[in-house]
Amino acid sequence: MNIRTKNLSMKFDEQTVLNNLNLSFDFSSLAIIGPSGGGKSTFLRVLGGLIKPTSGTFAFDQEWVTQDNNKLIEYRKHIGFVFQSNGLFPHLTALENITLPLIHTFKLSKEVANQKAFELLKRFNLFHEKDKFPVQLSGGQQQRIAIIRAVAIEPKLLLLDEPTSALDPELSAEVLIMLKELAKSGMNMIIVTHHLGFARNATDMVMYIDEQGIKEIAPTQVFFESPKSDDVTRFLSKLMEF
Amino acid sequence: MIKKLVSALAVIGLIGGFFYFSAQRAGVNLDFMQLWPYRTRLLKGFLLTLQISVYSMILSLLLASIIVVLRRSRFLFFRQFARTYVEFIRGTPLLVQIIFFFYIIGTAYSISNRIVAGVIILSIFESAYISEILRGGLNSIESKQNEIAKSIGLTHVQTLKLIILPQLFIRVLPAIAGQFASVIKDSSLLSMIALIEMAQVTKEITANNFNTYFVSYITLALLYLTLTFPVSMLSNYLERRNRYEH
Repeated sequence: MNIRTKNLSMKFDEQTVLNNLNLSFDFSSLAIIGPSGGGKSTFLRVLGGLIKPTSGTFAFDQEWVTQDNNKLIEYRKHIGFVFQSNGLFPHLTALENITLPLIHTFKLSKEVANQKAFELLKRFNLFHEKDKFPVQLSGGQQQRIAIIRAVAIEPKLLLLDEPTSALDPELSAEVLIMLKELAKSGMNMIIVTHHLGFARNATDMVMYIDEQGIKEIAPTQVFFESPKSDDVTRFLSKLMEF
Repeated sequence: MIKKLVSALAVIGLIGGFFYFSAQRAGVNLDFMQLWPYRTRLLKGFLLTLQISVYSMILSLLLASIIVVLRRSRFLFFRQFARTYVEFIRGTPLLVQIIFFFYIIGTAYSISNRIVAGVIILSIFESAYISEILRGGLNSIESKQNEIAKSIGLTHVQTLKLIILPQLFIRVLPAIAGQFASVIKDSSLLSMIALIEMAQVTKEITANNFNTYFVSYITLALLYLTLTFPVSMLSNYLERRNRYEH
């Protein structure tokens, strides 16, 4: 998949997250890493059409996204988004969480929607949890249900905003294993993550963002073996140390 | 189950016994048969209280919803209006409002039907409280829920219908039911404008026959309980049934 941005800027009162960004590259799974507060999540939300950039726009596979409320509603239908935590609706069961967009956004019948959900639940060993409410699920299960909800709509791109940052290592692993499988099966994804190991093993491109903007974009192997920017080198060595 | 029943009987027996004993010591006449001749009037009063309460619950919920929408409006004027309404109503006694609305506003705009006037006054009063319950409930639903709804492609209307309102309903229902019990009790103050609901009937009975003073008011209390207790039971039941968060 190709991503392209044109004069993309995102400014808040205090901070400039993206400054007139023009880039273009291909990826199938992209990891975004960098220090906290550097604007990774904001960038992801712009790409997901959840917030409008201050100016400019972007395209996936040459389809330019018009930054207009009605167009964005349509655009979001084809993007799967997974949040850090508590991304499920607490008043609905796991199954209902998954089928809600299928039924109400895509107007599928309940039977077809359930069928789709059952297949995915079985594939990721969550079938027995289908009638539980989010509070009855572990954090890892909640995130995996949220991921199933995002992929059930067969999005052209899956966006994940630090999907494991609220989980302990064991639960993180079960989520990352699932994502790795999805990436292998050809799902295009962009993931903001702190797990360098995951970025290294499961993605083919890595992007580094800090307060000054995007510092480096490179194929995974190149990124980890010979980073060009000193900031990236420092960031990587800091994380590798522990 | 039997244990629960025995315990409940013991509690009722203890409290009832205490009042009975106190009444005996105070030399109060406890002959309830004295009220028998007034049964039709009491029944009529009871039904009127029920009628006023039900209408007021519906109207107050409606008014409260409007107030909440105004409080969250984009326009400062509406927000200030709603805020002033709530502060004024919650900051003054119902008694004063009844007099003010009935004798000044009611006369100025010729609302002569006392039942209609009573329902409107009571609804205005309760709506201020209910609007605060609704507002608190809305605030407690994380703003994140809106973003999640957005991310799965729901429209504003769908988000409200499928995500916000169902959660709001479950969260505020127990508190609203509690407020409905207040509606029933507060309706007793409408006797101020000579609405012949059950508190007024009681007043009239005791004015004619002072001997019945205590039995009349004890009966009145029991009659209110027959209305408020089911509401409270319903509230408990709904709270338990919908507790998906625990």
